[in-house]
Amino acid sequence: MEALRLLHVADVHLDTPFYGRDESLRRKLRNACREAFKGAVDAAIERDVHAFLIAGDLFDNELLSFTTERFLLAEMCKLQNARIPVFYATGNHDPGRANYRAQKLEWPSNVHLFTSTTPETVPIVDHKGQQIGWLTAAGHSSTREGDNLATRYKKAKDDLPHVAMLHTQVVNARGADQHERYAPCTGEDLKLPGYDYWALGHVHLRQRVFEDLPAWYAGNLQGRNPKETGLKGALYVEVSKRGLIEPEFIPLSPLVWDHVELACPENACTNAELTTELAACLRQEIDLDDGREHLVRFTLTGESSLADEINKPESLQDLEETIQNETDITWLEIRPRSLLRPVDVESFIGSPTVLGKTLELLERLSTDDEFLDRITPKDLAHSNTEDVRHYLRELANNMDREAASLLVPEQKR
Amino acid sequence: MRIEKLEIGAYGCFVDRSIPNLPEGLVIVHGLNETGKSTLFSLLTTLLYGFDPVSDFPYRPWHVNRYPELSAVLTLQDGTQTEVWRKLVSSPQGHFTRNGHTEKLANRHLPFVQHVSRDLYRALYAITQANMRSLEKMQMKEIDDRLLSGLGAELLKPTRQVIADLEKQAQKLWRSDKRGKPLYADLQSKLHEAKKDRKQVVERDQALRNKAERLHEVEKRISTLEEELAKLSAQLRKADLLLPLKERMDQIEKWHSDIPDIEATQHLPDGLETEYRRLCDRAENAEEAIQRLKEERKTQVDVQGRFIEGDRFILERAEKIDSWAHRVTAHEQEQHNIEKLERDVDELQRSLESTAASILAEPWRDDFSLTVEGIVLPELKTRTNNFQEKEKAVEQRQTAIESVTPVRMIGELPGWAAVGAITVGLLAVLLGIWFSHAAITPGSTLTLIGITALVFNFFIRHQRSLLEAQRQDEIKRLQKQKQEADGARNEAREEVKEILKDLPIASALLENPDLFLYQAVEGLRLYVGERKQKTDHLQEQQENWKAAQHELQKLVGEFGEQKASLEAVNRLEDRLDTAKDHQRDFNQAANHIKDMNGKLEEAKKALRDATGARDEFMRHVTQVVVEDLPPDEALKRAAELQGILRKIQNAEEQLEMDHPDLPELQEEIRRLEKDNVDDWVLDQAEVENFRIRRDELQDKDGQLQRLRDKRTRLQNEIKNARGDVSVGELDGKIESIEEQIEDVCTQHDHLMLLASLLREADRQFREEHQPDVLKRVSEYLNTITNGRYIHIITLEDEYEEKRLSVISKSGEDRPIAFPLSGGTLDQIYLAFRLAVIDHLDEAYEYLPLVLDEVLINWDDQRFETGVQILSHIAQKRQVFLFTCHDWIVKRIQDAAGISAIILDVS
Repeated sequence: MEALRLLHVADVHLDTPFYGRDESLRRKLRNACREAFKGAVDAAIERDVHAFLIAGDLFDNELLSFTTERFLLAEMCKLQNARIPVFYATGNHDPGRANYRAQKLEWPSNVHLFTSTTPETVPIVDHKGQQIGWLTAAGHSSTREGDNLATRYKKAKDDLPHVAMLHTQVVNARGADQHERYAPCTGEDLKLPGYDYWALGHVHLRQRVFEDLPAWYAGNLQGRNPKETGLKGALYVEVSKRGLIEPEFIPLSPLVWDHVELACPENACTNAELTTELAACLRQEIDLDDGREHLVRFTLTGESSLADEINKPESLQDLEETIQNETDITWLEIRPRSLLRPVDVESFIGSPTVLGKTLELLERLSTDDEFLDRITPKDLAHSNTEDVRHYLRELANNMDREAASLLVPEQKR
Repeated sequence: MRIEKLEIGAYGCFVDRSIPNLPEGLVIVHGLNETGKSTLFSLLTTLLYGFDPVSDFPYRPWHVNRYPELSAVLTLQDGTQTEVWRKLVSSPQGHFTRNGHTEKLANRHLPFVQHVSRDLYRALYAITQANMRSLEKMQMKEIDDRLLSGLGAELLKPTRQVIADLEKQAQKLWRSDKRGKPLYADLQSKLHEAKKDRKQVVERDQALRNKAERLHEVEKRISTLEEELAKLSAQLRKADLLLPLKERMDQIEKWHSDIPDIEATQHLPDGLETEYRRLCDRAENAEEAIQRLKEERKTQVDVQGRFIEGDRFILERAEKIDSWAHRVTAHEQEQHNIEKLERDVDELQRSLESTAASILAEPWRDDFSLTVEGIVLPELKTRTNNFQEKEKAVEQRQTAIESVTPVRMIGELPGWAAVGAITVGLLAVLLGIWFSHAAITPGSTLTLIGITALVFNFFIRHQRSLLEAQRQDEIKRLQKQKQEADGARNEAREEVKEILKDLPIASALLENPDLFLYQAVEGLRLYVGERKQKTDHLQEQQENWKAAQHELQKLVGEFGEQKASLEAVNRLEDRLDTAKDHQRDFNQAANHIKDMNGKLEEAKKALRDATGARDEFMRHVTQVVVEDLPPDEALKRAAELQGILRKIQNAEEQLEMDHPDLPELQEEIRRLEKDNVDDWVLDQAEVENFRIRRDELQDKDGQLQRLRDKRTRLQNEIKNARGDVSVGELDGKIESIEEQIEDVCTQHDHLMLLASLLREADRQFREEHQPDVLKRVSEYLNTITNGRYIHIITLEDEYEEKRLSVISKSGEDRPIAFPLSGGTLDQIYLAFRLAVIDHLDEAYEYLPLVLDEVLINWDDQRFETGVQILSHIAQKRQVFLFTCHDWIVKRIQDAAGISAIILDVS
């Protein structure tokens, strides 16, 4: 019997808010998300899969726009026309209770929703109507599903390939800490029923959860912000009772986030030199010839004689634009983080100068609450902060270099 | 630093003024008001710092039109001297010497004064009554910052400035008092807008969903009504369409049954009678055609009969006849030519005989021809010419002989004349001798003449006899030659005779053969040849003509002609033409007959076809009508059946045109008839109701149309209302703005914390590291006030503004302002300034100090103390004390231990 062919997607997050101070960037990301989903549907049709699996968070419930609804339903109809059934388990962002969008949409007949927290088992049949596998799945009914739904899955059948699907946070999975702890489970919970494949959703980092467990997070289809870097896409899976072939990653994200952190090159003394160095670093770190558009956050740290210049918003913008033009990156954000002029702070410690006194007081600030209270500015913008002292001490990180950078004229180092 | 001397080229009121030997220490500058003390101070400042301002410099020479110019010699702290020169032309110029080298200054300050700015110098080093207490804030801040920012050579940026910058930056980000336009406010505004937009988009999406739901409802309702309409339409279709259709089909069916053999009837052509007639006519025409062809063929046979045997006979000889037709004229012409030839031969004979008669001694005979032909004419000519030449030679000799001319000479002079002349002459001479000498000469002359004549005659005679002898010799010679020539001539004659020996040439001619003879022989020769040629030709012509004539005679004789003549030939020709015509007609007739035979066959075939078609037609008609009827009736009946068939066809065509889906309709009818489904049999009232209801639904103002319009409207509304922006995008925007707000607030707090920290550090540092200057000030103050005030400090008021305060002996601190007395204030400020400049110049050059009437308000005790202070100061730096008061000058001079120079600038 032929293997069960599946396309596994998760965390599509249609209409999710995207990162970007630039409206055009947010628009681009939104369109990219749709393009990625469309790509997944096309891939499923092209490979003539037996089932299209959506492991939750297909869209952000409250944010799903009318236009996106129409788009989504149209894509489902495409799959219907190709006679591909869709199995969709709801997640925390698109829960399945009656008053949520997932239930209200007019799904075509090929879409089977799993909206209940009680796992349901359905057959998977091919075009001829012959059953070739099983699927068990459960969905989140609300936005804050706290129960371990994996423990409710019954033992897998052994006559045909049996696949399971769940939107869950497997504790200890990489990147799990980046997401809310909804429907948590462990590796043991997933191993116990003995399914041939677990199609998981919730964690946006594509990964096999454990080496000895056929459970994968497909990851999301399009990175939403600079923390979700790298290519995103779907997993094409062939499952049979003889075993599981390593899922094939199908890259679908038109836009790729990258995050590069770099200590500012010390030898760059002019803007032109800095531009060249940074551009070279980007080319080295990022494969710009992969046919994708890259969105890059570039964190600059360290010391540089150009720090004052770089920290000016208009200069920073110029630098971003110049590097963007040189490297053909679609979008670039340079974030100076504690980027300061080189100053020999050590030499001022204990010196009979205001700076020496400042450094002394900074030391004191980290432990002396009274002193801290005394110098706490009268009007803080974050006046509602619960722990002001902690907050101020956080602010005081690296303040020694900053004070030195401010007080010491440029020629004195 | 000490100014040794000043050379003022032109500066304000000073022109070409030299101030040499300025001492170190205190220099009292005494002068009344408006005498140049301010100018001098400005000059000192300019000397050290350059011209300021460059344009509109206020100290351009007032009284002369010259450029400001000054120079000075300075002695520095280390004892080195430097010469400084400055001049303000179109641009400032200046230089100074250092270590023997001259360095350009332009308008820069001297390097030795860089530790104190110009403004500071003006503010601090020029102490006047007016500015004693009013240090500009800027200088105060500068002093304060510089003094309090660090010790030694480590100079940091002014802390106050840094703090101010930080607070300014922070305020740009966020303000508690909501004043200005901090970034936070702008972001809040954007956030508010974004949230508003979000709300609108959410409402919009909700509205869209509501509309979509309504649209769905409307579509459902439309679907229901359209179903009903479809059903009604189906029913009415049956009523309106299928029933009439069925009736028509039934009629067609009946017609079909009226026609016995429909297939046969279909194959009947239109217009049966016409067709029948046509077929009959066709057969008749075929018969007529056959008949015509036969007659025509007979005609051609007759034509052939005209070509007879005689025509063949003459045609066999056609070539000869044609040949003679062309030749007969030439043949007759030939006869004429022969006759002419005969005449020519006769003419030649006569010429020959005539020519022979001129040279022959006998009448011509034909046997002479051979001889004449045997004569070699060129040889004859040569010999004849030779004879002629010889003859000529003889004649020439003869002529020569005859031409020997008798001697002729000049005749002798008559002898008697000569003798006479001599005689006379002698006489004359004698006479002359005797009588007249005049006659001597003529007589002499005459005598001479006569003598001469005699001599002449003698000479002539001698010559004559000589010549005669010569002549005789010549004659003899010529005679001899003539004899020889005669001999040659005779030989030549014999040669000529030799050639002509066989002809009886006349002897006279032979004796003297000449050209005539030759030409005559030549003529004979010519005539003989020509005659022979013509005679031969004549014979040939005669023979040919006879042969042709024989041939012609034979030819014409075959056709009964007696005489071979041109007329006979013409007649033969005519007969030949006739025979040819007959032959041509015969051949043409043969072709026609062949052609006609072919046509005849075709015509017969056509006849067979026509009769066959007619018979077949009638068989067809009979088949259609079935009954055995006479042709006319059968045709009539067949036409009727044809009409019925046409009706069937028309009806069927019409049906197909009216109903392109006829097969389906027919099937439907059959099915309905078979199943009797859905009220196939319809009641008219029902039908009417259906129609009414259908019209209601189809009415453009009806319910269905209204629903459709509503649907369209909803679709358009949905389409138009969709918009580009989604809630997600707006949430992204909101998040982004909130993040920025978060950043702004954090950044603000960070900056404020840092500012606060720096301020605290600054304050503590001030407290811990009270500047040397304040100590100095305190020392100066203590001294100047004789211990009344011991200390001076800076404090910050509630506005964090710095202010100076003095601490009295009793520890009381009093701000340096009212109600402290004016004198006390002067002292305090003086102390302050002195301390400051000491501190500033520490480790640098001590710059000259200028004091202008600063001791004026001091009491005696303080005055004394002040002078001591000044003298103390003057030990370290050059002090210029300006005053217009004599008593001050005197008091200072009287002060022990002070050396001063009075500079009178009046």
